[in-house]
This record gives sequence, C-alpha cells and structure tokens, in this order.
Amino acid sequence: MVSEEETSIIYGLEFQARSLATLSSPETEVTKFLVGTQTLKIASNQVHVVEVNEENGDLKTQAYPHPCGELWHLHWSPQNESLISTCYNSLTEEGGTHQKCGLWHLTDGVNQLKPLATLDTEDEIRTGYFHPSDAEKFVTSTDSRFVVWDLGKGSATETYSKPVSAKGSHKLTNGKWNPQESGAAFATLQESGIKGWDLRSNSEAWSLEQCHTQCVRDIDYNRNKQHTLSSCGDDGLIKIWDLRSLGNVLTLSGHTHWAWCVRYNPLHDELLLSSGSDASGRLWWAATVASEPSEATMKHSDGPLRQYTAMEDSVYIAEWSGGDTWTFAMLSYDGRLSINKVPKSIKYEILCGRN
Amino acid sequence: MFLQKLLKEHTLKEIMDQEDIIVKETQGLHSDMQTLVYENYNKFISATDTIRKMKVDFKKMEAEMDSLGKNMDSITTCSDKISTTLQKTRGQISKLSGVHALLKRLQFLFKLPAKLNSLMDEEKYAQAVEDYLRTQQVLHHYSHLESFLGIQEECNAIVADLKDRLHNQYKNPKASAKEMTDSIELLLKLGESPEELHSEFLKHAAIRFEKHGYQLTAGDSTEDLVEFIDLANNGFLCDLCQIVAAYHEMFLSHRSLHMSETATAMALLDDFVELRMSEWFTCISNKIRSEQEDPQSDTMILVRALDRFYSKLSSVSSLLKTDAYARRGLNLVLEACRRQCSSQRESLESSFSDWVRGVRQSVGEEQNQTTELLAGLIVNIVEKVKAALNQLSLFIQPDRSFTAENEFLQNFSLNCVRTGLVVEFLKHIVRASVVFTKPIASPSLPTLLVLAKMCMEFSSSHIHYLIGLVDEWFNIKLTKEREDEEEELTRLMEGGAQDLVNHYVRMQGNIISQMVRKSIETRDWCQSLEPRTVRPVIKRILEELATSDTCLGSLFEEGERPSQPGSASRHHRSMVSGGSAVWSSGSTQSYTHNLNKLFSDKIEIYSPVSLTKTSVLTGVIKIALKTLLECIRLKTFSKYGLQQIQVDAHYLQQYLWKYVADENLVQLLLEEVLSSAVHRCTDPELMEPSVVEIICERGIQEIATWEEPAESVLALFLVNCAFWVLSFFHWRFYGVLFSVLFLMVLHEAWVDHIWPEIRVAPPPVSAVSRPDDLPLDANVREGMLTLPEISHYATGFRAAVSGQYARLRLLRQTQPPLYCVIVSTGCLIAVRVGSLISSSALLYLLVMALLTVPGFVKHALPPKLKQRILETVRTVAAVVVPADVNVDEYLPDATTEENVALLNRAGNNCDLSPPSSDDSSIADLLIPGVEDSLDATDNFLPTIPQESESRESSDSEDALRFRPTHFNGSTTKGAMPAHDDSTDDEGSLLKELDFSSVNPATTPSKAGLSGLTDIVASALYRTVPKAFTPANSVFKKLDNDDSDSDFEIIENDDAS
Repeated sequence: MVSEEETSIIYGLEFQARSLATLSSPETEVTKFLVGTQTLKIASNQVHVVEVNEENGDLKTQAYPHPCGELWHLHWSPQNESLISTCYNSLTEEGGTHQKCGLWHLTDGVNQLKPLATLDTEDEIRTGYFHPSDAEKFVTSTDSRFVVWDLGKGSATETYSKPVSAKGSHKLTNGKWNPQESGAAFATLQESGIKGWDLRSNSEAWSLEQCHTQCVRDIDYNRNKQHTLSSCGDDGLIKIWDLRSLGNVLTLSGHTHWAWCVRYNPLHDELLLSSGSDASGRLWWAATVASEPSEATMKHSDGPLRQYTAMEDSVYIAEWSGGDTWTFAMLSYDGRLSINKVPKSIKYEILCGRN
Repeated sequence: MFLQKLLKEHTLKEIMDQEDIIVKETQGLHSDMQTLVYENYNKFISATDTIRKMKVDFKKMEAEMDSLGKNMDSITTCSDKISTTLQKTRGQISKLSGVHALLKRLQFLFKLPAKLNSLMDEEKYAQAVEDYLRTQQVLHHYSHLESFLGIQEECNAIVADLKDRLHNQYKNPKASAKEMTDSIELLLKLGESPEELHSEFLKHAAIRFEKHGYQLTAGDSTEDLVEFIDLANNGFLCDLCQIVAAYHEMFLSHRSLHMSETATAMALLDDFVELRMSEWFTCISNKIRSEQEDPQSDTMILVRALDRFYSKLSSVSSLLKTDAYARRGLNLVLEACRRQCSSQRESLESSFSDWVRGVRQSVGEEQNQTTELLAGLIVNIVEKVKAALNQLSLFIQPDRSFTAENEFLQNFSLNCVRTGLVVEFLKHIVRASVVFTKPIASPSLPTLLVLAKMCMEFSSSHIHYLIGLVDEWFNIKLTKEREDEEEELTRLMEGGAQDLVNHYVRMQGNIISQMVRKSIETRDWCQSLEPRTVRPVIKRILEELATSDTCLGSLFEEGERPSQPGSASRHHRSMVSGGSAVWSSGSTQSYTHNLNKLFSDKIEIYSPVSLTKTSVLTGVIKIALKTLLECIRLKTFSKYGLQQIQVDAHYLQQYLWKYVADENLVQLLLEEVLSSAVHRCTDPELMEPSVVEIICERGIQEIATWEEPAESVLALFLVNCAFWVLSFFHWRFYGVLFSVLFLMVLHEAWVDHIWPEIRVAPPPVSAVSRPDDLPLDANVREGMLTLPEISHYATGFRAAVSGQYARLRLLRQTQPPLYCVIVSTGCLIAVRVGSLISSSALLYLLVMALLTVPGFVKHALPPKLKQRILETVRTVAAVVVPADVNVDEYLPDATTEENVALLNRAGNNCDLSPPSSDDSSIADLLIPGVEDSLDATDNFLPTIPQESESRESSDSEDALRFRPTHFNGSTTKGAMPAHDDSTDDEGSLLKELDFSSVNPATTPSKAGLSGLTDIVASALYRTVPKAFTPANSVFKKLDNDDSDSDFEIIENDDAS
C-alpha cells in the first residue's frame, strides 16, 4: 500500500515538542507549519517555521529562538500571516513555573521574533487562540477562566473574562472559538466535560458531561457544518456531537491509548485527523455526519482510513495544512514533525464525489 | 447271512434249539393256511346261489312295468277333458278380483286425508309421508277428475302442514341430531329442494355450534385444560361428526344427485366445516394460550390436554376426508410447544438476570467468595436448563399422539428446544453479560470477572454438555451444520469472556490511572521536598493491584510467567541492581532508553488481553504506567520532584514484576517514566541508587518506636541475652568467636532450611498475603523516620566528616605541634573514659537506650511536653547558631566502622523522632506547615557541633547525632541512666564525648563486634536483614576516606 506518494516527509527538532500550528489564512496557498520545542533548557527553545514545497516536497525551514520559555501551545493568526501567539512555560525565581502567552511578529529573513505583547494573568495560561474572523480579538484559557483580549491599538487589553472553574473543581484545559456564528461562541474543556459559552449573552449555552471516560483532550468544530463538534479523550475514542440535541452521533474507536488531538479537514469534513499517545496518527472517514453526504462519499463506511505508526513517541498534536487541504502534519513528542498526504485513492474519491 | 451268523455266533446246542423252533413255526403256519382256504370256498358257493335267484326275479318285473304305462295314458286324457270344462268360470273370477282391488285403492284414496291427519296427530310423520308419496302419483294422474282433485288438494294441504311441522321440528334447537336427520330425510322425500335444505341445515347447525363455542369460551376458568379439551372434544367434535355424517348420508351418498349439486353441497359442507373448525381452533388455542400464560400452569396437564386434543382430531380427520385439520391441529400443538419453550426461555432468562444481580450484590459484600459465586451461578444455570429440558421432554413421550408425527418431532426438537430454547438462552447469557461492558452499566469489577469466567467455563465445557444433553434427550442427529452452530456458540461465549475481561482491564486501569493522574496533577512538583518515602498513592495502587490479583487469582489461571516463584527473591534482587545501574548513569541513560525503544516492540496500551491472571494484570499495569508517563510529561519537576518520581518508580519496579508476564515491559515503561521526568526536570539530578534502594525498605526504627510491642520486647530480650552471654565470656576471643559461629550456623539453618519448610506449609495464606521475602508493609507507620530522611542525614554526615578530615589535614600541615597536642589529648581522654567503663556495658546501655527511649518518647510522653522539648531544642539551637565551624575540630575516634554504624543508627532513630512524631509522615508530605517544622529541625542540627566543640573537643557528628536524644534523656529524668554513670565529673553535655571516647578501648574487638552486630541483627530481625548492611556499606567507604591518620592510633591501640 505504501506508494511513493504516501511516504512522509520528516523534519526533526533537537528537543521534544508538543506544539504545532498551521498557517490557515484564507488566501494562503502555501503549506506552512509552526513548531515549538519544549525543553526546560529555557534558553534553547525555538519556534520553527516549516514550509512545504508542494512540487518536490522540499522543506524550507527557519528557526526563531524563543528564549523566554518552553512552548506548550502555538497559534497562527488566521488573518495576519506574520502574527503568531505562543503559550509558554517559564521558570520563576522561586523555582516554580509560570505559563504566559506571548504575541509575536514573524518576519521572513529576520532571525528573530519581534515581541508585540505578553499576556499574563495570575493563572497559568494554557492555550491562546486568535479569533477566526476578527483580527483584534484573542482568547486565552487559563486554569480557572477564559479571557478575551483586544489586540487593537498595538497593545493587548483584557476586555472580557469569564470564570469557569471554581477553586478546587476541575481545571480548564483548553478553549476554542466556534468558527461559525461570527465567533461569538466559545467552547471550553474541563476534565471530562465540554461547555459552550455564548459571549453575547454572557452565559453558558450548552454543556456536555462525561463525554469521555476521565478526560477530554481536544475538540474541533466542524467549520462546514453548524452545530457539529468532534472531541477526543482518554478512552481513545473520537466522538462527534450534535450540539442541538447534545447527542453523540458517531463514535470512532481505534486509538490504543489516549487520543490527544482531533482535527476536521478544513474543506472536506468527511475526513478527520487524530493523533494520540499510542504514537500513532489516524485518518478517519466520517461521511455520514459530514456536511454534504454524497453518493461517492458513501463508498466507505465510517471508520478508520489510514494509520500512521512510524512515530516513536506520543503524538500530541496534528494539523491539516492551510494551503493544501490534502496535506497534514503530525508532531511526535520526540520532536519529529511528520508531514503526510491523504492517499490519492481517497482524494480522488472525494473529488469525484463532489463533482 | 442269517445262517452264517447263526453258525458263527451260537453254540451247537443253541442251533439245535433254533432248528426245533423253526420247524414248529412252519407247521403252525401250514395249518392256518388250510383253514383259510376252506372258509373262502364256502362263501364262493353261497354267492353263486344268490345270483341265480336274482335272474328269475327280474323277468317278473318287466311285465308289471308295461301295465303301469298303459294306466298313465288313460289318466292324461281324463285331465284334458276336465280343464276345458273349467275354462269359462276362471276368467270371470279374475275379473271380479281386479274390480275389488281397484275399489280398495279408491277407498284408500278417499280415506287418505283423514289418515294423514290422524298420522300427523300421532306424529308418525314417516308413515304419513310414505302414504302420501304412494298416492301422489295416482292423484296426480287423475287430477282431471273432480273428486280426485279434491283429495289431492286436501292431501297437499296436509302435507304442507306436515312440512311445516317438519321444518319446525328440525329447527327446534332442542332436537337431537337424529331427529333432525329424520326430518331432513322426510323433507327430502317430500321433494324439498336439497340446496335450501343444505343451507337450512347448516345454518341451523351453525347456531348450535355457536352455542357450543359460547359455552366453551365462557367455560369456567377453574376447570383445567384437560377437562376443557375433553368437553370441547365431546361437545363439539362429536356434534360436528354427526352433522357431517348425516349430511353425507342425506345429501350426498344415497341420492343420485346431479354432479354439480353434489359439488355445491360438498363445497357448502366444506365451508361450513372450515368455518367451524377455525372457530374451534381459535377457541382452543386461546384457551391454551391463556393457560400457558398462567405461571402456575402445569406442563403435564398441558401435554395431556394437547394429547387428547390431537388424538381426537386425528380420528375425526379421517371422517372429514382431509388431513388439513390434523395438520392445523398439529400446528396448534406445535405453536403451544413453541410458546412453552419460549416461556421456559423467558423464565430462564429472568432467573439468569436474578442470579447475576445476586452475584453483583454478594460480590459487593464479600470479596473472596468469587469462586463459590461462580460455581453457584454455573450450577444454577445448568440445573435450570436441565429442569426446563425435563419439562419439555414431556412433550415427546412416545405415548403422546402427536409424537407419532415425524414432522412434529423434528420441528419441536430442533426448532423449539434446541434452537429456540438452549441456543437462544446461551446466546442470551452472552448478550446479557456483554451488556455490562456498555458504558451505561457500571458493575463492580469482580462481577465482570465472575461473568467472564462464567463465559469461559461455558465455552470450554458447559455448552457442549447442554447441547449434548438436548441432542440426547430429543434424539437430534448431529449434522455438520449443528456442530458448526455449537462451535459458533462456543466462539460467541469466548468472545463474551474476552469482551468482559477487556472491559475489566479498562475499568481497573481507569481506576488506577485516575489515582495516578490525580496524584500527579494536584501536586506542585516544583516545590516538592526531598523524597522521604514512596508516595502513599503508589502504595495505594499496589494495594489495588493486590486486591485485583487476589480476585483474579481465585478465578483465572496464572498464565505464563518466565520467572519461577521460588527464584523470585534472588531474581528480584538482581533486577533491582540491574535497574539501578541503568538509572545511576544519568547521562548515558537516555541512550540506553532510546536503544531499548528501538529494539522493543511498541507497547499497545488498550490492547486485548488473554484470559489469564498475568495477562490481565499486565494490561492493567500497562494502563497505569502509561498514564503515569503521560501525566509526568505535563508537569515540570524540581530536583526533589524528580527524585520522588525516581523513588516511586523504583518502588513500583520492586513490586510490579511479580504481577506481569514480562518484567522487561515494566522496566521499559518505568525507564520511560523516569526519562520523561528527567526531561521535565529543571535540575535533573538523580538520587544515589543505593539510597533509593534503602528508601524502599523498612528500618529498624519500627522496633525502636515500639510499633509492635511484641517485637520490641523480643528485641529487648535478645539484646539482654546477647549482652549477658558476652559478659559471661568476658570478651574472650574463642568464646566470642565460637558463639558467633554458633549463631551463624543457627541463622543459616533457620533461613535456608527450617523457615522455607514452615513457610510452605500454609500455601493459601501466603498466596493471598504478601510474600514473606518482601517484608515491607505498604503503610508507613506514623511518627517514623523514613529512609529518605536517613539517607539525607547520611549524606550530611558524610559531608561533615570529610570537612572535619580536611581541616585536620590542614592543621597537621600548618601547625604540627598543635595537631599533635590536640590528637593526643583527645586520645588520652578517650583512654581515660574507656578505662572507667567497660565497652560491653557501654554498648549494652547504648542499645538498651536505643530500644526504649524512642518508644517512650513516642508513646508515653504527652504531646504538650513534646512540644515544649521541641521549643527548648530550638532555642538552644538558636543560641548556638552563629558559631562557625572551627579549625581546631578534630576527629580522633568516631571513625571505627561499627561505631559509626551504630551512631548512625542511633542518630537515625533518635534524631528526629520528636519532630516527626507530632504528625504523620504521610501528612508531612502533603502539609507544607509540617515540612517547615522539619526544616527547622534540619536547621538546628548542624549547629550542634559548635556547641559541643565550644565545651569539649569531641566528635561533632556524634554530637549532632545524639543531641536530641540527649535532650530527651535529660528532660525525662533518668531515661538514660547510663549517661549519668559514665559522666561522673563532667557536665551532662559531655555525654557525647563519652560515647566516642569508648572507641579506642573497643577497637580490639572491633572486627568481632561489628560482625557480631550484623549477625545478631540479622538473626533477630530476620525480616529486615538489610537494615544494617546498607548503612554499613554506605559508611564503609567514608571510613576508608578519612581515617588515614586515625589508623595509626588504632594500630597503636591494637598493639598495646
């Protein structure tokens, strides 16, 4: 089965890594990934930009030092190609650690990240996301709340903050914008539950309890179909939810340990990408719950399509390319970025089905 | 021949006699012949005479015959004459008689109406009809005559009346079938249209049957089924038979009807019968169904009822000339059987779920009864299935009417019993069991195991047994297909068991990984303190695993395990050292790790396990360790945090190997855990492997703190014994040597030969409890020093000693005279003290103090007092803190091996018992406040050397060690009387000096003593043999390091 086209391109980092972001601005044609290292040798941390040449599969990479902390999370502004955010862990003077979020300006050719702002709260900032449509909005999730920042006027100001987790209860682990509804909706993860927030009415919109045994690790909204959300968690399952009925419409099983990351293909939402600490990445077929179930897409039954097990360590994150929708990257903890393509047969099936 | 024989065989005499006899016989025969000839001759003569006479008679006869002929001719002529004369009169007479007959008939005709009326009055309808029919023709013929017409009309009127009456009679519901038949016959004779009559007849019969039906349905429900069927048979079927018979007789058989008419009549009858029978069947089947729904219904009665039903029906069906009804009846019976089967199956299923519920409850109550529960469950199921089969086998008893039908037998046995009942029920068992693996159900873990084991047992034997039973009882022939079915069922069961076990692994794994996750996530690893012990959660995990192990052990096979249980202990040790080798080599470790990774297969975490204990536990452990790994990667660790993980990992490694099939797996995972922790550590510095090792062992302190009074008393007693034995020998070389040898032999005999024998004796106990070679109790006792602390002080001690040593060397180089003075003064003081008090007494007092004081402090002292002591200690410490380490410190004698070991031990036991006793060590780890107090004690300790040095030159480290004890002792009046004895003229604070100064005196017996200590200790505390050795080994090196100068003194002493 392994044709030449299916071999993956590997890019190795010298440190461990668990943060990956993709350039997904609407007009972009190139496949660019952002990878951050995670090492407690704080000064050696780097952010790498990896650009994949579609023609010959060559990689063009550039490393930017990121000496202020080890990277836990990265996000690339969907509006501004040169704006990235990093959530990093730095050591405090007392020997403890503290997680902050930084906004940086990324310029080609200059081997330096230009700091724009540092977002810091008393809490640990776990993740930070740019607003999917509004270039001036940014959201961070900390242990106990999520904060919306206004990036206008060159500086970041806290505009809105919602305490989610009371002291002693489960901590917030992640939070994501809903790419639809003009970004007024937000979802947060807490232990085994997912909650949706309506930022306009400032209230909890919906809540899913006990989605996965133990812990929900990641969610991803389907940006082609409203009210659809995928989640993955410690039971190794990928679940797809209908947020109107708050019901589980599809469960995909296959990971042999925790599933850490799930991503809808940005265009063809019958394709799902997931990765987990069983050191594998998986492509899934979920046509029945996709936005346009066509005849050709019914060829497969919902379930696993491909499994990528070349990695040696846990794969904490995987991303689709923003430029070429058939390319995706998986980052394993030992610092290997593996860039793969959707198998041609599947690609053609989808394309024929669409036409 | 005869003659020859005679001549040969007989004597002459005999031959002579023989001859005489023969002569006589010949003569007799001759005379007989003569008489016969004479007689016959006479007869011949008389016959000749008779013939002659007959000839004469015949001649006379001929003449008479001729005369007779003549007479006959004359008679004939006479008779002819007579007949011609009578001819006329005869014609007249015959005419007259004809007229008479006619008249008689006419009279009958005229009288007919009256006669008919009278007959009708007498209800002799048959006679009436006959009369009428007889006249009918005549009347009709002569109807043109006035008078005959009148008669005819009259007759017709009467007959119409008769018909009415007949109709009435026949419509009369009370009339019997016979009456009806009669009426019908008459009516037919009267020329009624048969079609009308058919329908009339059938309509009427229908009314009657409706009544029957009504009667049946309204039948008293108290009557049992057999009675009901009898009633139905007798009432309904008999009537039906009669009607059908009558119908045949009347309408079909003896009347040459037109073909089409017969056909219609037949059709009508068929329709009718069809309708009635269907009604009847519905009625019966309803009744049977309602009867079956009744839970108390008796199968025997049902079977009998069905039997009667079917036998009657089959006898009737011959009458009805069709076997359609018999088939329908059979179907009905089959239906009833099927229902019976399914009701049996339902009852089986409901009792199964009851049992499972019972199992769940009792599993919740008692842990160790899983085996009995399992056995009970299986026996219940098998017995219940057998009982059900037994019930159903009533249906196929050979004397039942329907069992004669091959079709029924096949259908019933195969479809109903085998497939419908047994196979379905077995499938249900799997389904019902597998339901427990669904997320909605949350059964207790042992339940899962019991069910899994049940499925296993079924798949291995019980399915085969039950299916075999069915086949045998119900005479089912085995075909390939059925064997396949059985195989499939077995597979299904195995699959069920597999699912259940997998689910168990996931559940158990989740429980443990939840613990692991919480324990890692809630702790601040950056601020973590130096590890003193294994974290309680790790012990909790091991307890959980042990529970699981017990539970699994009672149900499942052991499974493959490479290492033999007997060699476990040795194996375990070697593994530990191997492991530490990997761990200690901090920098190369990641290489090893990566290499291991390269060469080992990828570990699948949520993979299916096989159905053995080891495999299941391996699955659980994999989940737990992988969780640990992932959680660690999300945290950042300080140096001590890392060391804590190291300790935990080591501890886990020590205990997990015995649960898993492949201990390399555990080792690999733990190495990965540790390397992840190293990566996540801000200051990656691992602990000394030997220290890690002792952290996981229990110290002698448990005895000293009187946690187990019996043990402590024993220890006290043995120490006393040892002391008195030693003093009895007066420390003479051979006495001591041989007593030591004696003890060694005893010890070895005990450990290697006697103990294993004893230990093996009660295997079930040892299987459940922890193995004896791993004495460590999972709970660390409250108020005890943990070995990490010991290791901490040991390192401190070592550092201090090397510091002092360096200072001494410096002193020797720079100021030799001063050095000489100091060393010799110290030695002199030591010699002085040594001469005052015997070494053995000193040792004895020391040990006694060790054994009693901590226990006293811990248990007897009120907490308030302890608090005050603590405060005093602190203030004193605060006072002496500023003093710096002095150059004129010297270390003359604290360096002999056993002394250091002893002191160290003493220090370990006594140092911190006051502070650590005010809260549990577990709490210590979690509550920062207490940690602070510990830190405070840590802080004051190093200051103590200043104090002692300011007063007297002494071993600062000894002072450090004994300081708290001393304080305790002095405050608690006379707790250490030995000190008072030994320090006649010196201040109480000089006690430290006393201890150390003894050493020169004891050096001669040094080797013996230290060996003895070990032996005694190992003999006494067999369970903790390592308690001494690690301490010694730690310090051995240290001794060699800093005793360059001291050796001279020792040698001097030896020489003297």
